Amino acid sequence: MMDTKKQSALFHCSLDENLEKVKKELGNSTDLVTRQVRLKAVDQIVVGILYTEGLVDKNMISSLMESLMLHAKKAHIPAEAECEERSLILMKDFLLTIGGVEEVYDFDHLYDAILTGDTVILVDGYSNGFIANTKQWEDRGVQETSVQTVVRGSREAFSENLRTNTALVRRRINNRNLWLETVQIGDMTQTKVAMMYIKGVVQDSVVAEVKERLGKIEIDGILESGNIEEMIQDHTFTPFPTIYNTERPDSVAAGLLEGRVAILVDGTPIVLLVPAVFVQFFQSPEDYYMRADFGILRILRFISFFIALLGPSIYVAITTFHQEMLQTNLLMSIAAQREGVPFPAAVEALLMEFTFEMLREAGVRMPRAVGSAISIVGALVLGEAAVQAGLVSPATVIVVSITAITSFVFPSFSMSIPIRLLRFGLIALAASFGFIGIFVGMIALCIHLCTLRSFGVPYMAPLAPVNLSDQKDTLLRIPIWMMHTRPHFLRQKNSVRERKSKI
Amino acid sequence: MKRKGVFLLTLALLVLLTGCWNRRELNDLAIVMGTGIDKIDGEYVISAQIVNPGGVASKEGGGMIQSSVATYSMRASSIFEGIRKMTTVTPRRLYFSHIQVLVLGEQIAKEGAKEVLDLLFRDHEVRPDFYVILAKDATALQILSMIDPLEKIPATKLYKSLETAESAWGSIVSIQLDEFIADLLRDGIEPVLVGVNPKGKVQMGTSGSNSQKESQSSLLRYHEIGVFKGDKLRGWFNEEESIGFSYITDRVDSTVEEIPCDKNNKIVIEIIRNKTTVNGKVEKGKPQVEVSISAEGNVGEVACSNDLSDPKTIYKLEADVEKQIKGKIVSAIHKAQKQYRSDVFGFGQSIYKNDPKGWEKVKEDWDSQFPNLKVKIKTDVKIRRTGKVGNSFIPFMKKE
Repeated sequence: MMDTKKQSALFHCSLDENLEKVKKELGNSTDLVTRQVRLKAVDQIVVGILYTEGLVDKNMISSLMESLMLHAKKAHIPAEAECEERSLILMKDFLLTIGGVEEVYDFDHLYDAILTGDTVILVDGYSNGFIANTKQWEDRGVQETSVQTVVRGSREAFSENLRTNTALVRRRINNRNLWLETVQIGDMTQTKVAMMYIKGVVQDSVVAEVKERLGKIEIDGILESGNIEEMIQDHTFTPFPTIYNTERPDSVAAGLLEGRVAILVDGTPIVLLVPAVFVQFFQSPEDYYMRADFGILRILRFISFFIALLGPSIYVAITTFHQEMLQTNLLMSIAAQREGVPFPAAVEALLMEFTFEMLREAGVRMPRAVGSAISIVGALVLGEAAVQAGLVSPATVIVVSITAITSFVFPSFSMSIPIRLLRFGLIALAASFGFIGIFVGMIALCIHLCTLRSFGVPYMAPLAPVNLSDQKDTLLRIPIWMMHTRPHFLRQKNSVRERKSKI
Repeated sequence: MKRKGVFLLTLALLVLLTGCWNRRELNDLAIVMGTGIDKIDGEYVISAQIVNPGGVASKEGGGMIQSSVATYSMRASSIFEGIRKMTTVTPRRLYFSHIQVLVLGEQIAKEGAKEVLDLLFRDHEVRPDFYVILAKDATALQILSMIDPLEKIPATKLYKSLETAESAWGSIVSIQLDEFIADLLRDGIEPVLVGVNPKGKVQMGTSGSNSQKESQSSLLRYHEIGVFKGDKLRGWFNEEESIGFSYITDRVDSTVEEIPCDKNNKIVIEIIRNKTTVNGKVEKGKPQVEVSISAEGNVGEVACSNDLSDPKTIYKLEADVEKQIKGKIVSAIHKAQKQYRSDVFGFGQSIYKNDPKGWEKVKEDWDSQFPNLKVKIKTDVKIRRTGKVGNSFIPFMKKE
């Protein structure tokens, strides 16, 4: 990246000229602070201090200035030098009371430093300066999880600060094999993207693949890990997420221990985990914190998946094509509800589904202050009045509500998006061909799911291709002391998780 | 690119051409719950009981009470014609998948029911698992029109009452269309159907007021079993013989046997379990059948002073029940052999199953062999429990 830049300009001898140039280049931005400090050294000397307000630690700046001004007296810094690169080693060694200091010679590095929150110190008459590491910006801090909540388990969620996030993971895995690599992506934003993995557990080719895909990204800005996700995922045209994302450090730690690679993006509280498989989206961190029998609930999630996907379409198919499949009394009560409803069942179902999706979308976007209005409109107007007015039948409302509830069952929100999309297609198929349509749709879906891959791992693994020993964590979760090996489909180098550990 | 185009086109057609298939909305269906078929003056009278979903599911206080069913009927020279012609009187197209009962008029059963059964068995919409029953002493239309106070839909009443009666009282058999047809087709067995007849005056039963009275002037009652020979009704078993029939064909779940213990009183045994095995074989060219029955019972009601704590009393009771069951069986077999000459018990089938080679020899003239078939009957009854008291309190009552 640096190669593409033109040869960077070096500093002038005159501090004033340097400061002028910086101000001009940065468009006189008002958050740029340029200060000239006169040091009472043996020879009087003028030092320029440049930093961007808001990105720096103010305490650090003031202590820096304090040390310069108070202690410069004793130091011998030759002033009015003949503008050549001379050693300012004295200043660096004695006066700069700060952790990280490096020298800087050209303007490009100067800009990079200022704009990331470092402070640049230029000395009049010298063509080199220092960068002092003073980064510190407003931080939300570590807060409670808001999307992937659990009853039992850690409440910590990732924040926007990359360092905080890596620290949160490292705190959970105290191991020297936990490696971290950082790259900068985005021509404009220069966003820091970190890869985390456990050396010796992860499959090396996956790390290499992630590195290569990250390296290939050419974009001017990365604002969220979603941007990265979209750029590096295996398949573009699939509604299914092939990269797992989470806001929970413990989920990331668990993923790393299984041999996955985490991708952390600065400024995003959502961390990506690759490779991802289908069943992963049905696993909640809680499954592993509660006792194993609680893991039976995971079956509930799979059932919910099918209900959320097929509920309305099966309803439409049965009521318009396969009335003989219903129990007679049920048929009569559904038929009674449909008396006088003007629309065909398919239109009715689509109508209600659209309404529900709109309600949901509105609920997410709208200001919190008017939040209760939506639920009142949704419950009263749609649930009650529409039925009483005879526009929709109560059975449809029930089916749509069940579908809505089941679509919230998954611990991972990204899995509910494909279901929402596919549901409409399946309703259309059901309305056209009944069960035959649904079956064709489901077969197509199965084929599609089986063709998906995520960083070399089949998406449906370990269900297809089936691996018996990996079934311990798919439909059910067996007790932890029986999970001796890490999932084989990730093909780690070191697949033994634990030796015999049950007392 | 071309593939993508075709795919998109298919998708668009899929969504747009939804009207081109046989989809039917629920509110366009007339759900038929029961069908009746009579034959009057050489013409079929088809009646269909259509449920009015609004009426069945109507909540209380919903203003006007709608009737829950409407029974339409139509005369036609063929059944299919009749069904189609019925659309001239019904507001919706008839939907036959949910038929629960088919009531056949006695006249049709006597003349042969094959045309009726063919239509219903052939049609893809009709599920052949509904019950077929015979209307006795009334037309099928009348039977279907009888209103019951507990069940809003007469066809459901017929259906449910048949199921409960079969499991609690031995003289009732529930025969579904597919069973009936299977019995028609198989060698060495003839079909039967249960008959239903109105108790009391028919006219009263069909009027709406019948459901509002506490004591009904007219009710439907399952009664006797109609014996067929081929698709023609030959005659009826009376109640005793019907129970005998049920024992032989292993249909008894639970029934009641009454044993006289003194002049006026009875001990009632509840049969709670029964297993019948029929073994047929051909020996020296002569077919013979052995029916062995092993039943278990409880003492249900005692009105005399028998000492039930004495095992001997129980042994005697067991022997009495055995004798009584045997008597019922014998009379059923006798009637079928001598009067109707119809092997409704499937004795031929049991010979075929146990002794296929022997069956080949007697198969051809089974009809003439059956009336002279030797049937050995073995009964074994065990009485298990006497209820929550031992001896009856009746003998200990103060003398009046």
